[in-house]
Amino acid sequence: MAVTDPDWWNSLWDTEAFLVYFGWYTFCLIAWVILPGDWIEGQQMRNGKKMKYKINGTLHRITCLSPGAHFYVAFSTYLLALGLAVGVIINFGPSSFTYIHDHWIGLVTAALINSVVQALGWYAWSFRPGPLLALGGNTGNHLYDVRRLVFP
Amino acid sequence: MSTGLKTVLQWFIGRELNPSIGSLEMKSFNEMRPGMILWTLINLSMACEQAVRRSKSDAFFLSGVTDSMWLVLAFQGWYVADALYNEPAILTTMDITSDGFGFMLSVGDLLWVPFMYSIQARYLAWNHVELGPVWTATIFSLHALGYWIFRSSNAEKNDFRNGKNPKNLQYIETKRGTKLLTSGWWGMSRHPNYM
Repeated sequence: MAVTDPDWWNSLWDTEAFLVYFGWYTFCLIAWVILPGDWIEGQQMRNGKKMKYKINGTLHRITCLSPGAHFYVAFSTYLLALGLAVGVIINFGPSSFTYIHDHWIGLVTAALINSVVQALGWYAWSFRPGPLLALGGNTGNHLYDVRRLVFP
Repeated sequence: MSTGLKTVLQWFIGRELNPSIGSLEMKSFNEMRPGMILWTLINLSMACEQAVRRSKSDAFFLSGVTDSMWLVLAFQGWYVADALYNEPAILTTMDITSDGFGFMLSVGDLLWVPFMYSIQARYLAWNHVELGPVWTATIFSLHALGYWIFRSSNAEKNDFRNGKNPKNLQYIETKRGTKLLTSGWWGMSRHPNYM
């Protein structure tokens, strides 16, 4: 199939994989909301403020596990996702978890759409009054700005 | 620069420093979770595909996967676990402190990391490379050595930056007033932590 062929473009689209991908993204969002974690401060910013991040910086202890065990939000999201996947594989065999392999192209398309839409959306939203803007890419020094594009 | 080009440039490199939904900061969220974790799930799915292709019946996962695939699952799964466990370390990186959230980061986090970094497992799903015990042990040892150098050199640097020097490492003071380690891992190489 060639790029000029509409069938080639259609082959990139997979509605079910699109829904599965955004189901996965939603899972990560829900895990961020419901899994316990601590709030820590980031580096001081130009305006003197510090962002707060729900993260694992100070130790969050889940006491129902061994007393020395520290589990954190991002890490616990990982354990939850891996635990579910491994559980499926053990119970239903490897053929139950080949979905990502089988729908790889549709999933790539969905992730690309997520990337483009988020970049567009956050770009547009940054024109409201008041947000702190990044200096990177906006230094006024074109050589520096372009260097950052070429070597991210 | 023309206005059009500048618009595209800013969309690519990002404009707002910390785009957020309520208290959820999206730049750090996208960098750590939906992409990094998906990477290991893709690896697992590729391993399952390999197991299915290698066994006529739907055999048990362990017996159906090559040693090469196990190495990929172990090394990359460990890498992701390490990154997520040490999540606050990204708060001092350039991505978080100085970059806007543009297409460069969004496509890197959401597409490049999970789908490109898992390309080895995808290759092995179709090409069942058997290393044998000697090569498996050799590769595992080499990887462990690199990981040890990466971890211990970073620990030396972090201690030193925090004003501690438990190993009594030597250092020099530069004209600028900064200090440079001249013994330990940092005395041997400029970037030992890239191992």
